Amino acid sequence: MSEMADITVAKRVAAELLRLGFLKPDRAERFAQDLSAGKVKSEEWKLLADPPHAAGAGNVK
Amino acid sequence: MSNRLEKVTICKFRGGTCPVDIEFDPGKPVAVIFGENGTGKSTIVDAIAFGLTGDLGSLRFISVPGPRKQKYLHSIGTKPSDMQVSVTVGNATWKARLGKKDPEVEGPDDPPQVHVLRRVELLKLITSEPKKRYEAIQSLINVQRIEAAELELRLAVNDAKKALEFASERKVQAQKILEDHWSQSGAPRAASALEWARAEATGDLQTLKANIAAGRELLNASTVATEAWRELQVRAAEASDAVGMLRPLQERLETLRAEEDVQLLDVLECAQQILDPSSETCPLCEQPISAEDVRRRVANRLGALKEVRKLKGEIERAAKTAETTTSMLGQQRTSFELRRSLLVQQANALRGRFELLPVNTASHTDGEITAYLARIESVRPQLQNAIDADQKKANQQDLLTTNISAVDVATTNLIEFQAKAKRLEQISQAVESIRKHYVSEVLTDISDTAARMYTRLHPEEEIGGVSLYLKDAASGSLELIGSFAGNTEIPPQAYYSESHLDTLGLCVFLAMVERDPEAIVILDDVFTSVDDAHLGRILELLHDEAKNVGHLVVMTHYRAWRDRYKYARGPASHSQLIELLPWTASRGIRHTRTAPSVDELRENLFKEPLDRIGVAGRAGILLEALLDDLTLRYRCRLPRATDINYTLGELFGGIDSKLAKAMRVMKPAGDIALEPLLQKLLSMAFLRNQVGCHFNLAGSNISDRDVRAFGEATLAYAEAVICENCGELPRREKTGEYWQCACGSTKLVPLVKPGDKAA
Repeated sequence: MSEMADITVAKRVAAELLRLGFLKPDRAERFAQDLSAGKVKSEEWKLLADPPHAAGAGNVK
Repeated sequence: MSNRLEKVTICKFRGGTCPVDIEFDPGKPVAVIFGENGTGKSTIVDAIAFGLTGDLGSLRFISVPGPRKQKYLHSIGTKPSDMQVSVTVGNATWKARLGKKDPEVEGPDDPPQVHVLRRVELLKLITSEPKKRYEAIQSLINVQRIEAAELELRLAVNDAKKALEFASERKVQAQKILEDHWSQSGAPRAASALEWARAEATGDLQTLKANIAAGRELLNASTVATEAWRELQVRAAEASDAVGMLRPLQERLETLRAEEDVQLLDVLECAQQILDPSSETCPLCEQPISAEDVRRRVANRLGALKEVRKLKGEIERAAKTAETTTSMLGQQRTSFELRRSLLVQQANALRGRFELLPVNTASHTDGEITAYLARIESVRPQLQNAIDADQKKANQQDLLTTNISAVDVATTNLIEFQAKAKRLEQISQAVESIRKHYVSEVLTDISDTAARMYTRLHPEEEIGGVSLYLKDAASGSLELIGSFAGNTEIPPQAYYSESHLDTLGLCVFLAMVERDPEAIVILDDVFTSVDDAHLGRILELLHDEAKNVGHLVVMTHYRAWRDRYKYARGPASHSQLIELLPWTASRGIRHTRTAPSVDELRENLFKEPLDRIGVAGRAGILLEALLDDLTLRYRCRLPRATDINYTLGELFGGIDSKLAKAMRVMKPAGDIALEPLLQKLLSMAFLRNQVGCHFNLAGSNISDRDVRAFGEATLAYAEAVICENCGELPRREKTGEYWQCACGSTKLVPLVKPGDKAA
C-alpha cells in the first residue's frame, strides 16, 4: 500500500516538474519510476535544476 | 478473494498447547470467532500476525520480565524449538518459528498485511497524544521512498546554498584584498579598487618574471664561478707542492746510486777472493784478507741498498701524488672555464639593463680573472635590489591578477548558483507541497470515511463531524476533532462517553485500514458490551466495509454477536461462524463451526430416528427469534412485562390480522404471502412446549409426524423470510418502501403496520 502511495505522489511530482519545465516530456515517466523507488539522489536533483541550456538539464537518468 | 485466510495451524504457540488447525472459508468476507474469555481468541490473533510477519502480537503491549519478549511466545512447559505457526492465504503458506534470536518467517515475499485492532489499542487511537496517534497511522500515510528522495533533494538544495555562500565569501575576500592593496598604494584615482587593479595588472608579468630569473641566474653563476676560481687556486697549490716534493727525492736517489756502485764493486772483488780457496791475501795490497771483515762490509752494503729501496718507494708515492693533483688541477680548470663562460654570457646578456656589469676582456691571466670576478661581485647589492624590486612588482601583479580573476569567477558563479539554488528550492517546494497535499488528501479521505461510518453507528445522536489533520507546526502530530451537542471542533476524547469513543476508534481504524484493500483486518474483542441497536448497526457496518479489505476477522466473547448470525439477524451467508470451546492446558484450543439455527433445524429434520425434543425445541427457539424480529420491525403490541422474553403465544398475538394479511416477502423467485405460513404455525405452536420444552404426558401422544410437520412449517417460514443469498432477515430500511436484507435481494412489505404512520 505504501508503494502505491509512493507511485501516486511520484507521478504527481513528475507531472508538476514537467509543467514547470524541469523535466523533458520523454524523461517524465522514467523519472516518476525512479522517484517512486527512492532512487533519485542529490546529484540527479542537481542535474534537474541545471539551467535549460546546460548539458545535464532535465536529463535525470 | 486472493487475500483471504484459508488455514491457520498453531503448534505450541501461546495458548495453543496442542496442534490445532483452524480452517477459514475463503468464500466469506467475514469470519466471526466467538469464544468466552480464556478460550484462545488472542492466541489465534497473535498466531495470524506471527505466522505472516513474525510480529510479537499482544506481547508488544504488555510488560514481561527480561528484555526478550519472544521467549514467551511458545506455550508454557514446551521448548521454543517445538513452536511453529503456519498461515495459508490464497495458495501461499507462510511458516514462522523462533530463530536463535528473532522470529523467522519462511514463505513468499510480500506476505499480506495484517492490521489488528485490539481492545488495548482501540482507545489509544482516539485518546493518545497526537504524536502517538500519528505513529499509529504512520504506516498508512507514509511515502517513504518519496521522503528518501526528498532528503536527497534537501541535500542538493543545501549544497547549492553552500556553493552560493562560498562564491559570495570568495568574492568578498578577493574584493577586500584588492581594496587593501589599493589603499596601500595610496588609493589612486579609479572608479573602484577593482578597476584600479585591472589597470595595474596590465603589465608584462612574463617579461618581469624572466628578468627576475635572469638576474638570479647571474648572481648564482657569479657565486659558482667565484667558488670554482678559489677551488682552482687550491688545486694549483696542491699540484705545485707535490711536484716540489718529488724532485729532492729523485736527486738523493741518484747520489746514493753513484756511491753504492763504487763500494759494491770493491765488496764483490773481496768476496771473490774469499771464495777462491788458493788465495789468503789481497792481490792488490797483499794484506791478509779477513773473512769477518768481508761479511761486515757486505752487511753494510745491503743496509745501504735498503735505503735506496725505501727512497724509491717514497719517490713512487710522491710521483703519484704529483700526477693526481696535476690531473685534478686540469679538471678544475675545465670546470672553472665552463662556469666563467656561463657567467660571462649571462653578464653580457644583462649589461643592457645593468651597465655596472664589467666587460670581459680577451686576456685570461689570473689577475684579470680575479679582477673580473671581483667586479661582478661588487655590483651584487645593486643587482639584488633590482631583482627584489622586480619581484615585488611581480608579486603585486600576481596577487592582483589572481584576485581580479577570483572576483570575476565568483561573480559568474554567484549568478549561476543563485539561479540553481532558486530552481532547486522551487523543485523542493513543489515536491513537499505535493507530498503534503497527498497526505492531507489521505487524511481527509480517512476522516470522511470515519465520519460516514460514525454517523451510521450513531444516526440520531449529536456527535460526529470527525476530522483528522496534521498539525502544521509540529512534525508527526495527528490532531483529531469532532462535534458534540452542537459544538464543533472539540476534542472527542474530552466529551464523548467511553462507548462512543470505542465506536469512534473502530471507525477511525476501519477508515485507515480500508486504504489497504488487500489487508487482513482483525478486530480482537474490541467491544466489552454494546446495546442491541448499536450491535445491529456495527454488524451492518462491518459487513458493508468488509468488501473494502481482504478478509475481516472478528473475535468476540459477546454471545449476542454470535446469536445475531445464528438467528439470521445478520448476513449469516456472508459470514463464517467459528465457536471456541473451553480451553484446557492438556487439550489446548478447540473449536467448532457454528451453523445458523435454520441449518441446525434442517439437519435435525433429516435425522433418523427423529430427535423429537431437538426438532420441537430448535423449531420453537427459531420461531421465537423470527417472530421477535417481526414484531419488533412492525412495533406490534405485546403485553407489557418486566421480562422482555415473550412466549410464542404472545408473539403470535401481537401480529394482528391486517398486518398478517399485508405481509409479503418479495424474492427473485417470486412473492410469498406470510399469512398462510403464520396461520399454520399458530395452529402448531403448542408443540413447542408440549414436546420441546416441558415434561407432560400430553406430549407423548403427539406423533413424530406432527413434530416433523411443526419443524417443517417453521423451516418453511424461515426459508421464506431469510435471504438465501446473504442469510439475513429483511431488516434494513433504505428506500422508505420496504425492509430489505443485507444484499437487497429479499424484501418485506409493508414498511409499517397498516394503520401506523411511518417513523
